Amino acid sequence: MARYALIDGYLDSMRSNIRWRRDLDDLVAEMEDHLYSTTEHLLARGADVVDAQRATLARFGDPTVLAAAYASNQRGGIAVPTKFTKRAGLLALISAVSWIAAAVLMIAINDSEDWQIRYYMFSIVVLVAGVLTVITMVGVGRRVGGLGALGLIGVVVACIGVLFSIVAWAIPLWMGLQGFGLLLIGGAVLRAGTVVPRTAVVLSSVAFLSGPVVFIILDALEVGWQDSYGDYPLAWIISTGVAVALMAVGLVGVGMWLRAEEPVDVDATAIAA
Amino acid sequence: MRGQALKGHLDLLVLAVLADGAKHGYAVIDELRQRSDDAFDLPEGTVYPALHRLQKGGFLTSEWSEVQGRRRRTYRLTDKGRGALGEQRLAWDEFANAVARVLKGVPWPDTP
Repeated sequence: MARYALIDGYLDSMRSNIRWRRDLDDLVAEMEDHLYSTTEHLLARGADVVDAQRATLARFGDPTVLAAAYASNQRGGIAVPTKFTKRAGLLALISAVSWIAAAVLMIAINDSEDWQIRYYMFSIVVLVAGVLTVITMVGVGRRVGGLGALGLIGVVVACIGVLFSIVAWAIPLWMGLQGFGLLLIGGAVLRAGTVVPRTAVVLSSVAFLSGPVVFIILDALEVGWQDSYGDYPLAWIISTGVAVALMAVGLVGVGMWLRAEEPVDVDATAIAA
Repeated sequence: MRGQALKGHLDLLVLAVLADGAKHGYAVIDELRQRSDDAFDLPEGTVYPALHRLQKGGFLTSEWSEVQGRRRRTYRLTDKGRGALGEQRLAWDEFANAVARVLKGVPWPDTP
């Protein structure tokens, strides 16, 4: 098969422009077939080999505009990895560790004389973890080309949940709000039509709503011992542990995905041109 | 016709071109050009994101083959795609007829 230097140079440029795509090889193979077919068609009509390649590339389109078209999601947003999304990946990993630390502190509160200090530490860690989680999910939203109205409502609800986490002992309140917000964000991310680690996104979306469900079941079953307030601490510990474990696994998956992608510079205005 | 004007109708046009059989991207673009008497001169590369979007939406399926030592992807309408083509065609006919009724009887402006 004959090779055409100009076409190959163009394909190399496109390969670089859309290198974040997981189906990169298929996309480039399809373009190569098209460009070679067009060039050979023009050659058969008597065109010079260089002119044929130039005409082919002119007809195919500006690589920057095409890269933007390949980057757009179903809603038309530009879905590419950026420096922000890469940083969000790091925040995801930190927030996963923070949630685990929060769970450990919560367990320690129940078994400690200096419970007040541990409670304050728990409050701070929960607040930090909540903030980092919301920023992470905003980063995921940016990566898929925008969250849309549903996702933005989710961000607002999750932020309200983070604010309420200042009252750290009211776990069902802040965890429920954050959970509902993250569920909306996760739904928006999955609807965006971009390749995402679905399991990780689903886990981080449903984690905090699973906690209250598990608690209600365990509380109804009167699992463990009853404390002086009439509560069942083991039900609290297990349900929060389940929620935090699911959240941490989900965030690690999301974080590793965002960290693995190299930022690219696609001109966002090109899509509108 | 400018690419921008085509943008909103590209999905319908692609579905229409694929209605009479499976085609690869190059053939889709060639058919678009021929059927429109070269009126549609959008950048050829922009058809591929549209094909991929339609496939993701379940309107098309695709399969790979090897032709002249190159990998080639061929697209085919699904039942969902055929249904969407019917619906979009009906909507387009209604729209075009409505525009025609509004314009009917309006005199052409004098050319300077």
